[in-house]
Order: sequence, then structure tokens, then C-alpha cells
Amino acid sequence: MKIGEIIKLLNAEVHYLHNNQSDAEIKSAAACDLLSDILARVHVPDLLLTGLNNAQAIRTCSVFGIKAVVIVRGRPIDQKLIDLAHEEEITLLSTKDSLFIASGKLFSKGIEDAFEPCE
Amino acid sequence: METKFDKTVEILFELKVADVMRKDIISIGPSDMMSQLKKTLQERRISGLPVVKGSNLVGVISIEDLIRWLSDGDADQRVEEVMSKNPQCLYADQPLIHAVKKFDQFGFGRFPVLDRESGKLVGIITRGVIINGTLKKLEKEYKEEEIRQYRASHFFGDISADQKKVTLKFKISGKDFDNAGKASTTMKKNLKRMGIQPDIIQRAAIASYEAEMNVVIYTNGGVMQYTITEDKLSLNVTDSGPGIDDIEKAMQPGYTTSESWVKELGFGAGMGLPNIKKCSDKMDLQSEVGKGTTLKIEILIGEDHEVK
Amino acid sequence: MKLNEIIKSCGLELKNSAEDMDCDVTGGYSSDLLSDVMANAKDGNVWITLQTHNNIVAVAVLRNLAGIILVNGREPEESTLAKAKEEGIAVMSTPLSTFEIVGKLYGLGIRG
Repeated sequence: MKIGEIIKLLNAEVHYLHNNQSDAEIKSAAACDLLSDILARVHVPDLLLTGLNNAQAIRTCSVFGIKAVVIVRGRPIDQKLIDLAHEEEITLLSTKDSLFIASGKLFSKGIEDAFEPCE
Repeated sequence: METKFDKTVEILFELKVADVMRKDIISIGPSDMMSQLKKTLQERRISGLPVVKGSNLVGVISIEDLIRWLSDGDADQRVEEVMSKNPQCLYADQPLIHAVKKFDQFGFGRFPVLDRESGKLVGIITRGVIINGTLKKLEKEYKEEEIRQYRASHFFGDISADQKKVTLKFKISGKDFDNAGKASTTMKKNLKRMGIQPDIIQRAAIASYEAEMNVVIYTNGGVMQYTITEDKLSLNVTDSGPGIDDIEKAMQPGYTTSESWVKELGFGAGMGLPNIKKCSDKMDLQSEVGKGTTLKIEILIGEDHEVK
Repeated sequence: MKLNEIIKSCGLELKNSAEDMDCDVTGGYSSDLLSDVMANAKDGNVWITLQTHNNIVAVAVLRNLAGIILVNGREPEESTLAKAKEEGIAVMSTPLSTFEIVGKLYGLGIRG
């Protein structure tokens, strides 16, 4: 699925679109508020859905190699976060959808989770 | 936050052998005669040559070989009978730091450079071209003053000794959540520029980020120091307290002492230390309650595609 | 949709039964932040989380939730199970991740 289609599907606000690439392909996603759970994974998803709107949402993507993040639940996005997304080259979107609804919508369009239990 | 970076060494990681090597290769054929080699070395004022058949490297021959041959007083001979076969080589896409290491290791004056794909000879590298290439890059990026310093110093010797490492140091402030993670992302960018393998970078970044978050969340602040040599990345994290009561317990997945405000930040699920361990090749954690904690980890970089 | 049907359709492992396993699930809410669940989950929602601490039971009771689904194959802590028994809160677990189990629930027609 292209990032542009995801923006439409989630009626998302675009805060930073890396390289202006609305046709960047997203195949997998992870939904999580506990970021250390993401960091303990084996596979890197293309997209992170999270309710966190602090700097760690961006830095976790940067550290783990995730290309884009969607902040859910209509959490406000402040300018500092947008600047950081720019600096770290992470696409930053936000949606009013809950984590449940946003995940459900993407899953129904064929987005997968690359999750593999470690234990 | 402060960053200390040895520019010269940084450049040695950044530049590839192909960026500085001599491409105008003077060579000799295996069936050429030693008398001809003597002439070529004298005329060109060089101390050694690759022996090439077609565009394939078959050996190297040096002025030492010539002297030995002369002193033996033998009749004229073909180069292939005197040359060293299976010479030590470098690949064009290797970072320059590998070349420096090779010069140290073997004490030779030059190494042939091969294209990794085709195995063909594409250049020659000497100590001289490494120094020139590095200085040229320094000139482009840094001020005259600094360059003069580098020129004045025993440039090559310094790098060959124990400066063949990059040190990055960050001061981490406790409870500074806006900047939490900045050291780790900065370090990750530097590793990328140095051309370190992506899977190594990711493991290093994750371990570092978890460690950094621990310092920010649980302590009053500390220092993270990265040391990168050609075979490993070491991370040393020290803080000044409060220390960990029971390390064994702290290492268990899911064990946490964090309060709910930490969880609201997305951390504190008791995954940090186990995850650091998973990402590291070596981990050592020492702590004293009331004094502080020292975490040392190592991640092996390992160059497994070294030319044999 | 009834809680029982969801357990069957999604292959959830039941860790603790609620008093009423036939109750209607009004929707789903997924979050790992307790304060967020307190603020935004709705009555009768099933809650998807990777938190296993016994505080999750208190939140489920306070918000009148239909049950808690633990993801990534996580086991509830002992104290969590004990509290769930005491309060009659359904606790289930799945080896799937949040994204996948939510996707399945969404596919069954569960909404927010």
C-alpha cells in the first residue's frame, strides 16, 4: 500500500513526508505504545502506529529503521516533534482514529505485521 | 552534549581504497626478464611492481627481490621465477582504515588493489597515496590551522599506533526527555557514514538507545562513550546513581521498578536490559546502590570479507 | 458480537473467565497506556494490550470492560490473575501482535 493511500484511508494529517514521496510502499506495520517492545523485535516494520506523541516516537523509528509513524487518537503534534521528524527523516502523520480503528483499517487492506515472537 | 571525534580517523573510515589509489598502474609481465625489471625500477624510481598477465594479477615483485637476484649473480631470468605469488591485496571498496591496518601488519611498501567482482587489478596503493588522499580530504573540510597541525605531526605513525579508533562521548542529562535518544541517533548516523554493516548498526543503535533511556529515566545523568575500532564497537555507560539493587532480577524480562509516568513515555516495561543483552556480543553490568552503575557492552564488527 | 464467539473465532486462550461470557462486546480499544484506557475506552469494550501488571484489572473494572486480551503471547502475572478472578474480569491471551489481533477483530466487524 502506498503512503498516499494510507493518508486517505486514515484521513491523516501530514506533518512531514520524507522526500515528498507519497508513493513510498508500506507493506508492514506495528501497533504499540510501549516502544521498548518494538525495539525487542526481530523484524523491522515499515510503519509504526502509536499513541505516543513525544520525541521517543520519532527516535525509536530512527534507531530501529522504521520509515514512517502515525500518531493515533488525535494526539496533538507540536512543532518540536515535526522538526525532529525532519531532522531524522521520518515521515510523520497523525489521525483522529484510535489505535484499534487505524490498525483494523490497515490490516483489512492487506498490511501485515512482521512480528515474530522472540521467546 | 559534547562530541569528540578524531577527524583523521573519521576520514580513514569514510574514504574507500578506490578514492585514493593510483590508477595509472606501472606493471610488468610474468615472462618479462629481470634485466628489464631493473631498468623499469630505476627509470620510474619505484620500489616494486605488480606482475600482470592480461588484466589479472599473478604476483608482485619488489626491489628486494631484484637485489637478491643481483647478489646471487644468476643469469637473466623471467620475472615469474623470482616474484612472490599469491600476494596480499586490498579490494577497491574497502575503507581506507583496512589499508592502514595492512601496511602495519605486513610492513610492505605497496598493495595491489582488486575489483571485488571481477578480481581484476584496478590500482595500487602506497603509504604515500593514503597520506595525500587523507590530507586532501582534510583540506576540503577543515581549516588551514588544523591541517598544519596534522602535517606537522607524525601523521602515519600516529594512526598506526593506538589512534586507530574513533571515540564519541556524550553527556546525558537525567529526566531530559526532549533530548533522550539523541546520543544514540547521532551515533547511528556516524556509524552509517563509516560504512559499517547495517545489521551491526541496528544492534548497536538499539542497545545504545535502551541504555540511554535507562540513564535518562532512572538516574541523575551520566556519560556514554562509544569507541569504534575496526573489529568492534564498545559502549561504556556510567551514571552517578542511584544504582541497581539486584542485577540478576533487573536482567529478567518484564522486571521493572518503573512508575506509571515512565510507562506513559513508552518505556519501563522491563525490556531494556534483556534487550541490550540480546543485541550485544558481550555485556557487563556493575552497580553499587548509592554510587552508580557502569554498563559495558561490545558489538563485534568483524570484517569477514578480508582478502585472503 | 458475544465474547464467547470472539474467543472461538480468534483462537484466544482463556486465562480467566468472566461471570458472563455471553456478554455483548460493544467495540475494541487498544492501548498500552493505562491512563489513556481510563480516559478513552468505552463500556463493554474488549481491551487489547501488552501490559500484564495487575493494574490492568483495576482499569478494566473501573471502565466496565468486557475483557482483556494480552498480545505477543504474554502471560498475565500471578497477581493479575488472582485479581481478575476476584473481580470476575475475563483475561485472554494470543500469540499474535496487537496489529494482527486488532485486524482480526476488525475483520469480525468489531469497531471502536
